[in-house]
Amino acid sequence: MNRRNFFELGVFGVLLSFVFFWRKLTFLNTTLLYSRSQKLLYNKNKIVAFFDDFIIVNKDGEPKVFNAHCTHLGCSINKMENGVLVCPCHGSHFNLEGEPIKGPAYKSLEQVDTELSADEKYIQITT
Amino acid sequence: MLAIALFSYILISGILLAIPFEVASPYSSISSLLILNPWASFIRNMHFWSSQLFFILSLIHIYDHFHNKKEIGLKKGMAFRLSIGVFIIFLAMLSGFLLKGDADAMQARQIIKSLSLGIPFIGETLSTSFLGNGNDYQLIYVHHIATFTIFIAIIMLEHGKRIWPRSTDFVLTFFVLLFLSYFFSAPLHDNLNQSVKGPWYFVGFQEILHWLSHPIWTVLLVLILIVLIYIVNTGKEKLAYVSKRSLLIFTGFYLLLTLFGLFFRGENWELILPGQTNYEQSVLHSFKTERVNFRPEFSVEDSKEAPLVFGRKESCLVCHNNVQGFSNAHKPETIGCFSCHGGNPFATDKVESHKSMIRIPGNLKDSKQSCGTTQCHPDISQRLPSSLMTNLSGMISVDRFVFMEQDNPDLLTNIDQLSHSAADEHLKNLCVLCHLGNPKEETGPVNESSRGGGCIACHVNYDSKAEQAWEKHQQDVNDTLYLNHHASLSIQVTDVHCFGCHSRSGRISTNYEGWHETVLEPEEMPDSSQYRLVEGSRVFRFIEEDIHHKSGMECIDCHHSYELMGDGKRYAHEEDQEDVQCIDCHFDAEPKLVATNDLDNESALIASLRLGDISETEFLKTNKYEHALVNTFYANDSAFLITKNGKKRFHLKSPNPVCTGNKAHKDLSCSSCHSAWAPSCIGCHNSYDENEAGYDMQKNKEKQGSWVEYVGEFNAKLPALGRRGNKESYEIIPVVPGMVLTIDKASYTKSKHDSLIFLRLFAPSAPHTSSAKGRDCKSCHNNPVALGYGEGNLSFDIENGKGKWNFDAIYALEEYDNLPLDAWTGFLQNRSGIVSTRTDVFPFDIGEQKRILTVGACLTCHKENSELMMRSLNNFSELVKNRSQKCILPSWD
Repeated sequence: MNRRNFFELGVFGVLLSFVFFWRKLTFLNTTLLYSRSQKLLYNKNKIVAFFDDFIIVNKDGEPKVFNAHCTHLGCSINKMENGVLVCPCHGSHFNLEGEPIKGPAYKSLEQVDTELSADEKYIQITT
Repeated sequence: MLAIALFSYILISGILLAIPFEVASPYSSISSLLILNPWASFIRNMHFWSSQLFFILSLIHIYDHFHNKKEIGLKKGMAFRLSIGVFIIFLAMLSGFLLKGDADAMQARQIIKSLSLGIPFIGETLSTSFLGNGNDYQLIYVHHIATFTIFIAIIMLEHGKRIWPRSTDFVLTFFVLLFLSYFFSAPLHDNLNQSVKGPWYFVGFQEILHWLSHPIWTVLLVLILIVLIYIVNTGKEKLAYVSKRSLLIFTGFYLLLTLFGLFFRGENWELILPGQTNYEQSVLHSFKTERVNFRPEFSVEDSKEAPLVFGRKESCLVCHNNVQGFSNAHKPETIGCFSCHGGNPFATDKVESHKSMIRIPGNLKDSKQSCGTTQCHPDISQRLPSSLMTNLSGMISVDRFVFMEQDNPDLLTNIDQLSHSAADEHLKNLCVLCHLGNPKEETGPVNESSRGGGCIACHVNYDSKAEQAWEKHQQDVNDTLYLNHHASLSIQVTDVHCFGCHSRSGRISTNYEGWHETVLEPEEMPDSSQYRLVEGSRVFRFIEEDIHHKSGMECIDCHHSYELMGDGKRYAHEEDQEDVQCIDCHFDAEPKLVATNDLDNESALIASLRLGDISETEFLKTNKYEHALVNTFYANDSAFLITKNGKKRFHLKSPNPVCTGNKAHKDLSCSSCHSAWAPSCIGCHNSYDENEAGYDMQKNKEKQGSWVEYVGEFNAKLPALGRRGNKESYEIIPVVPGMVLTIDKASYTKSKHDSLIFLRLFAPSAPHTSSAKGRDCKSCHNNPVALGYGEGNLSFDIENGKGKWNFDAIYALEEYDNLPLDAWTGFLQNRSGIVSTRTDVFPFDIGEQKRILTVGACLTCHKENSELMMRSLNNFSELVKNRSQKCILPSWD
């Protein structure tokens, strides 16, 4: 190995170490910020309630909370048309069980673990 | 060279734009600068146009190189950096788009995040590194102004070997940018329009994503494109040629997709074509742009006072400040002006602000952009077309049935499906002004002449101040005054709102108030409080008002929101859509109840708006479709009703035992006994007159030629009775001679095959003339009108110990069917064929008539309240068997 090759390898090593730092940094940052809980206002009378990141579906008095982001590309689903949840970006449709009934999405909406407050006014979500 | 000049303008305008731009609230800060700071707005436009042109010129530059050189022959390192550079330019543009923070940007951000996360191993790292973790824009901003910009600058320097642009390019591009930035503003989504699209260069990509269930493949596509550019820059002749051709084909394909996405994709990325009703709103709206107004029609001081609405400033509120009269939910400081009226919320002069404005919001044609937007009342807007008040299905279907254009009056149809047939022309000339889709074109209070208007047909109210302000505004021919008191939009629906349409046809509004329409001309109207002139031409006579009206109840005290605005299901006729029945309030068994917690949201919202605290309340619900009656409650074993507008409270009474406590009348509807009177119209003739000045009510246009109705007689009397249902399961209901008429169809069709139509169809009726006391026994059992024979003398004659019912009609027999004009059926005869405007409503058959008349015979001797007659309600047959010698039953020989 000549001197030039040695320094080229050195540069590559430095870049690689930055990739390593980058990966570690973002991973920890993500872990720190994503471990948080949210409290959503729960309206028992409402069949479907939209929030920025969640949809509460209250059929038959048993609320289910879905991730509001479409399983196709993550657009926020913020409306219901004729009893169907509609993604505004590419037109995927989901029923109130979160199941896709029209593509391009083919996966069901992610159901989130929740806890209903004792007075049934809030839903606690931990992500 | 031009690109270098443009890049310098990107930097200069970007640095200047950083001054008013707030990364913590990008949407609010951009909307504010559009309204408050035209110079900042201009610089934003310059930043936008310089970057767009830079992007386009960079692509042209690449094409130029690729087209003119067989082999580019760049060194590998340089080629690699340039290939990445193209991608970085794209990212710089995209990050700029995201920094608008509007609805488009937020969805685009989610798409990029989703795509990044889908990349194996490094997806999350990439996503976090580009977009950050939260919902803030800090990291995107840093990348936009630093990471990408520096990278592009380095690449340009390395590739172009220049830092400074030529002075001629610098000046030339300045003038181009000056022109574009002044006349065409950079877009900002109003966050109301439901069409969500990325930037124009992303739309083709969005189209590809739409077709892919596994969108992660598009990441591979991007990688392939970068590799292809790299190969063209470094590869030998053949390889470079194949790569170039691949790039060219892809570019052509991508351009087509972009055009398709831009012009043929609307809301929810659904296919939409020019000419479709919402094409302008869904597609063309995105292309609307305005010039910068350096002289706003308001001062900066004024504009500072305007509140933030839905996270943005609205210029409307700068001029239209301090407008009073709104209900709480519709106050401008809560929802602004734009939510209802559209227009341009970021413009700073009157003309531009009012462009495409919805002057009268709530009309169904634009309800999706006003009352029915996602943030407001989308559910109601979606189900409103199912209401008969919107689609008029029953009216249209019956009319076509009567004109013998269809075999069945129950077919579902819609006012939009009217053709040029005789029936449809008849409807257009005489009937279809009354539907919610008929647009309200003039402002002003709702009155007895009002028709249609979508949401505002029922929900707009002018108090005295609003009316004064409106009148003043009407007189302001130069349109210089600001309206200082707005009409309110609320759930306070009064009888006046219903009157315009429901004072016609079945006339339930006028009936309810006790007024019966006569055939008198206005000049013949007696000067008496017992007469009333409606719409300046219709003379009404007072008969008797409905007991509910007398006690202060209005239409909406019985009829609820799902009944009026539809429940999403289609119904053939009004009695099918109608949900509320007398027994819902006047019940004699256990009440049907629904607790607050189990209410649907709409009912809960209305109930709390009307009653305040509704926790722990139990409401009555309807027996038919189980909807809550939100102005009732049940407490201490009693049911109560509170009038919706007047707040009068009533204790709801159970029905009299004579109604429900016997077998004899168990099949009678409440209204068959408790309707004091019903309007009845007979002998009407219809023909088409080519010379008559007509009106197309569907298009709201005057026309030559019209169907003309030659009215026969209007009467007010106790309604006839009929049977709804089959022999096994039926209900006795009030009926009126809905269609006893002749139609000269040939006068319209000019066809020799169309002979004169004569019809004797009765229609089920909901008279809305309830009285507390029901009609007496004889009014049914001894009444030829009730039995369907028409007016005349019905007598029980006893001769030689033999009783016999006889009937002498007042009206002469009609030549078409040998029945008196006002009859539904012949005396002790059966009727077959088409007999009513429904498929399940019939006159009494001979057997039923005999049973009724047998009781009638008893009533000729026995008083109806006598103990014997009361006993007969439960065991009539037994009493008949054991009757005395003096009792003579009718003989049917």
